[in-house]
Amino acid sequence: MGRRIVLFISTYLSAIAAPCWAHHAHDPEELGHHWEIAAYHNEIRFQMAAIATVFAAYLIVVRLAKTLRKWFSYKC
Amino acid sequence: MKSVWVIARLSILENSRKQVFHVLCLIMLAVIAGSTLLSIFTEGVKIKMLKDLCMTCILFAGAVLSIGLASTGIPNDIDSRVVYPILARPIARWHYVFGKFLGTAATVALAIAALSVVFCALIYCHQGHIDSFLATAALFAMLEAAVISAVAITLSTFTSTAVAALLSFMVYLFGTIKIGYLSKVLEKSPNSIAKTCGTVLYHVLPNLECFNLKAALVHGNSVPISYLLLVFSYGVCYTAFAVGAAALIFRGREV
Repeated sequence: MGRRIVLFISTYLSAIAAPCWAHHAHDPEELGHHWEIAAYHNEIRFQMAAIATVFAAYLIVVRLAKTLRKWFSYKC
Repeated sequence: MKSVWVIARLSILENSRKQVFHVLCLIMLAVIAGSTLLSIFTEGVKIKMLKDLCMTCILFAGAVLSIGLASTGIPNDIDSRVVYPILARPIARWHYVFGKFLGTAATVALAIAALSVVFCALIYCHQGHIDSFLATAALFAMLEAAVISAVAITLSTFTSTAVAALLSFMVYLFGTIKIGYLSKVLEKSPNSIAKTCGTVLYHVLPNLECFNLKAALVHGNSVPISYLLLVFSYGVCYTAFAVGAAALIFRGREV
């Protein structure tokens, strides 16, 4: 099972990365350092927001499950 | 929390006895020391080459050590049944996972610190003074190693050692070229399903390139403090998220 997963993921990622050679031509913005490129800033902010959202959703689900369990145990 | 420190200390001892730690540290020290032989260049170019080579070595050693140590920690404990007497004690599973992560991150940080000290000494011999930015660059290299360790530990909680190491290496590889190449490749992908799956994967992958401050050190550029703070918080958040996920997965796993 593990081997199949690795094989699938490696094939998929290799397929994505295969045409990398065609992207050697950079836009003028990409010749700068990464702290000067807006895409890096945006991606960092997006990922931090996504982590915060996932964490909040997890807390809500745990709280809800706890409440429901308590409620059902009380009813029964 | 005392149990976390005990497990972390044991993990540091265990990791520091592994062959991969000694071999990689010695190879990287040899490369860093050998970089002084770049005498064919003029002095200015030589120092730039020295800084570039040494920072590359430090970043690569940090990544490889993180993958090698973090992906073997938990599966080896399960295989050798060391984990049973630990978990039989009144220790929460997240304490164990967190302790393992802290131990691994501290071991890699020690290795990076040792390499950085040698690098500092070389720079001092050539320049006559030490770059103040070197400490910042080394700190962010440690943070990158912590992110990779956290990802490797998360993967090792539900896979075997080999699978975790391979997947962690792929995460490292694709995390490094994420914005430079993957985003462009995804933009031009003709298949919508592949594009959607790729976009999800793209946003899950850590952005490791932002921890690489080699260019700033080599060319003497200044990096805005706001950006450094943003990257630092990002590294801490991503690490905490990955370790939390590892603890959650390990909590539900039968060992």
